[in-house]
Amino acid sequence: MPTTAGSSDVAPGSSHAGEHAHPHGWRRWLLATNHKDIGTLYLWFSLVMFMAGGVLALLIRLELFQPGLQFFQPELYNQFVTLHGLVMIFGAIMPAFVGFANWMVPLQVGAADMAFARMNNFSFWLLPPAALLLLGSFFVPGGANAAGWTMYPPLSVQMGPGMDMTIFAVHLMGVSSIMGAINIVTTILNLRAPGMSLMKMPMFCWTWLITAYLLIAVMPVLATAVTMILTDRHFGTTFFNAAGGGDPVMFQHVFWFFGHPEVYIMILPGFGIISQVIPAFARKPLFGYASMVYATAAIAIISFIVWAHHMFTTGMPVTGQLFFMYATMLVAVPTGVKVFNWVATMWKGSLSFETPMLFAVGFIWVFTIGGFTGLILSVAPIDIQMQDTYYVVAHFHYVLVAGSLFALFAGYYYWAPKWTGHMIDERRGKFHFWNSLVWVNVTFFPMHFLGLAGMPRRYADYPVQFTDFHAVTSAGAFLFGLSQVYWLFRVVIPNVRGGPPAPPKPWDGAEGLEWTVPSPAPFHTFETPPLVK
Amino acid sequence: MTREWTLRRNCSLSPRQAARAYAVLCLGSLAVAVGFLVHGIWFVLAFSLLELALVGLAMLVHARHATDHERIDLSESGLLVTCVQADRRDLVRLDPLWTRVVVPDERPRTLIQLESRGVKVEIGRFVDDTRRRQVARELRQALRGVSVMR
Repeated sequence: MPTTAGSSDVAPGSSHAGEHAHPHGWRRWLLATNHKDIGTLYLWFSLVMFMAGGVLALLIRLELFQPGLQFFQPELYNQFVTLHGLVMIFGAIMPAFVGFANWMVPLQVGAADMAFARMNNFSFWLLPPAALLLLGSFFVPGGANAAGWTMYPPLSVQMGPGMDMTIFAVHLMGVSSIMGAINIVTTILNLRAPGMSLMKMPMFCWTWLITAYLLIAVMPVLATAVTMILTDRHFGTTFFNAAGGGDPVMFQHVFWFFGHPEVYIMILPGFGIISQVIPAFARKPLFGYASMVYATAAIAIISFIVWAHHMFTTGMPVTGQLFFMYATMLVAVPTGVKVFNWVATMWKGSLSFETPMLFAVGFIWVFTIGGFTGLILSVAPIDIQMQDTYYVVAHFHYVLVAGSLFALFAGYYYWAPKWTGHMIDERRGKFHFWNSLVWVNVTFFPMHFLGLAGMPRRYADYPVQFTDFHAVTSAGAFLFGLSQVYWLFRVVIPNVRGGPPAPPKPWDGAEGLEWTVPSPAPFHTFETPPLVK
Repeated sequence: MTREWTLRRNCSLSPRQAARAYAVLCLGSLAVAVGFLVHGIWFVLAFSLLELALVGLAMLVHARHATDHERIDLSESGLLVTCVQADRRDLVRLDPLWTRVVVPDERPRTLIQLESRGVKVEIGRFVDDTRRRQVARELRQALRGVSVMR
């Protein structure tokens, strides 16, 4: 329940001097060093990319609405599939979480800004050129990268200049991620307010700290994978060419050594958001705070020893299959700890269901479905049957759309009053939630049946037996897309433009330093750190 | 009679702790890189070293300022102001009997000014306005005490 305006209690000793002038116009954004401005840039960028990736998804679903080729040739269809994945992962989800980190980490730890403000600016401004390279590759000879977001050779070695543009874009986005991670690690470790020990930190900061460590550990591996493709393409190496003594399967090992931790990079900050939202609307402290921290760290560590579960069909000794199968199953333990802790936090809580809480509860439900199908896919004999079918597509969309995206929505509705200074229209928020929840399930649940029946992924056409489920999926996808257009035009933009003024702490159960500053948060906050008791 | 005030920049990790955090990061990243190196993929080590150098540089830049502080010592022998920023250490000795303390006014971010026989020192850049005003008042009172004693 929102509290009334004016209930601010600014922490003694903290100062929020928003009085002095700050840059205006385009310079404010191009030369931005303020963490809130850079956070806003990241969020708008990810929103644009989310819409671009969404359009690509709908083009895919348009083609798949009926069997046969209606609109696009398979070559172009494969480019849509590839770019949809790359745009959503590197352009939408990751930058969105970095945007949240930029906005919220300094506010939550009581720091004036990120540790390296200029590097923060640079790490953002690497993204738009990378996005232009990715999307612009549609217009070069041969079109965009069509090898899938995983860029497996030999396909990726054979493609046109669109592949080089992808490689360059991935490098730029990787450098941006590394710089973002350095900033987040340094800010969280060094700039915490006096009294805020690590085990008193908000969960969002904890999950981001662990994510940043993960990013720093695996980004060199991604850089390696794409650089080796580049040298195979242009510099005469044969890393992945069997005829030259190389091995295309080696690429898969390198790629997935990055790729699996990457999955957790895209979900751990989401866990952090959910761990902030649920206690606020259950009006209870988070159940098992320490176990949540350890579970997050455990998930991150286990993520390094499960990569080959993506490769069961490449041919692997039984002992290897068993190791990767059991290691993958192990992920369910810390993840289960988290889910049970969220439920235990709600247990006997004084619950209310404003939009952030709806998205958080929705997240637990749909993410758990995605988690369970992951567990099913970890079983090697099942995975060998299901490899590259729509069952896998259903699984990772439940984790990334119903998981990461719902967590981002929960975080947006929770913190938007702090960002814009305006309350969000609850009726519109709830309309957005219920539509998203229904249509996400209508879109992705039938994909399980398609996969079980043998429908392979990345195909532009299919036998007539799959028509009904594909039609339902396509209808669901268009309505899910429409729900997000509604969210943009009826929730986000109106909230930026105006609305009822938000008090400093709009949610009466919310805890944390971010709620001690006025809404919208002034340009400068915590210039001298508050004292945390 | 001796009194002292220390005004410190907030830094939640000491340089030693920061070094430990960096070591953990290096350990993780290099373990991955060496694992790949053993399998003949040296690219990872090259990228890891490049990245860790960047992280190390960033942490070093930050750690240099982790112990920045200002210290004011008032004793029988005089008023000693020490300003430490990165590897620079400035010491100014003032005569307490001749020192004038300008308490920061209501404007934000005005520093405490100490003036004595043409020497001016500004202090308080690491603390907030409230703490600055408090320190200035305490210092002024303590200096009055010194002149009364003499």
